[in-house]
Amino acid sequence: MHGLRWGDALVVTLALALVGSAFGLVYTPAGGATELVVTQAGAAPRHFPLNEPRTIGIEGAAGVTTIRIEPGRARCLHSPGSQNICERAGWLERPGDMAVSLPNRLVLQVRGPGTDFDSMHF
Amino acid sequence: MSARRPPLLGPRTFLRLLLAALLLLVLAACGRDGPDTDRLTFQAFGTLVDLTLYPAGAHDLALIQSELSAELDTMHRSWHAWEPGPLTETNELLALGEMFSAPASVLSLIERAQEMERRSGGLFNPALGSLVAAWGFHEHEPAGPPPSADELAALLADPPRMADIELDGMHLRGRHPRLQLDFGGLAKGLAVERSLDLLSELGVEYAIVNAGGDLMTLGQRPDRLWRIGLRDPRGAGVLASIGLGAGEALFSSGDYERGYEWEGKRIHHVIDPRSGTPSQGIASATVLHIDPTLADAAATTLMIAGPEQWPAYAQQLGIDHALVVLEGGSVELTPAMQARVEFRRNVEYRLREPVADTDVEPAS
Repeated sequence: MHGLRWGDALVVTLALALVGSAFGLVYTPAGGATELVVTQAGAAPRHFPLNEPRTIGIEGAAGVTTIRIEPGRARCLHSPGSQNICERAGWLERPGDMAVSLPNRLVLQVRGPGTDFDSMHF
Repeated sequence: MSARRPPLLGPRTFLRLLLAALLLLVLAACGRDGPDTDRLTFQAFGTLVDLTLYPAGAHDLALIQSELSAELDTMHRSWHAWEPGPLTETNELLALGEMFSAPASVLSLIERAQEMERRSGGLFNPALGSLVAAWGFHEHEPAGPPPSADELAALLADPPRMADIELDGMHLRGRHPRLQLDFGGLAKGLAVERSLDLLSELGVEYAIVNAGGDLMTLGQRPDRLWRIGLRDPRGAGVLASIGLGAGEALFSSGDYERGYEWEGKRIHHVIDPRSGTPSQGIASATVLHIDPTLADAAATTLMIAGPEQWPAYAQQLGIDHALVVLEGGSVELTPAMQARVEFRRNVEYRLREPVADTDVEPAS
């Protein structure tokens, strides 16, 4: 019967490092927003990473909602409706921040690690 | 001399077991933030309905959406205040002053509305549909103009009340020619309650029905409380979070919901029956209760009551958990509500105990 060899020690060390980093990633305290989730009536939620600047358009029942994405934040630039509720929400940057366009039947919400709610009351 | 016994756990076996345990730990870490609920979002009841179902992957989502959407749309048509349907027909018949057989779909709302009017000392009054219409809110995109001073005075002289409806079994009689029902401050509560009943019938054990931001829980997921974010009525952010157990409803009434600009002033849809004008002083009122219809009506009542009197009306309606955001942005809440919410930003708040107030019209 053989004892443990140096290769075994290496495998154990690597495995421990993998477990440590996995838990490190998952249990890091909530930071900034990392993704925009667009929920629209009748469609599966769409996820957009908040990594690089770009502008996207989402087709809805009343027209196009234009969204500006920048690293760590997003905002509704223009959306159909007379009250500008979606635009007035401003930059969404803290995880959980949201904007709603009822004419286009969509909800924009930015999320980050460990901050998801089961539902939003407004 | 006895033979040496082999070790219980050889180094190789130990290594394999260790690696298997580490693999399980990695899987546990990876699974922690995966979605454990299914979400369904669709348009129904004139608003955005967001359904949360626990656990993920355990339900026939297409069936649930189609059944719930149909049920909500039926209620929406039945209770619509100005599109032709059972409620507009009821309003026409009430104005005639003769006894008639009421549509069953409307009867339960009338009964609840009469109860809420009594309990709120008349501050919650769904018989004033003509006043709401005069402010331009019987339109899908309200734009004004507001009523003139003369129009308003005429509407407020001897105003109709829910008590002006005589109820005899399934039969109704209107005793006020200007009585017009508008269940805008009440119907969503009953709709959410019925949606939960339907989900139960479809075999759902744990869910949240959220209709345009107002919501109620069905059961409590076994691992923890439901986590709800309360959106700041004056911004995009989350004002607070709250944990909900089984069968708890969270309803708000706010000046941001429906309204229009008129001569530089924001006109919102919650009309104070005392003045005949949009309520003032409170930007939003939030109520937590196990009865969603009461929570819905109470949120409207507290908003109308205003910054001075809302705790007295909360006491009169039997509401322990309430939170209001004043027009200036400051927060007031009951001690019971304070124990339930966790503010997500720096909030200066004032505690207000629900207490009786002799200046408030008592329940009749």
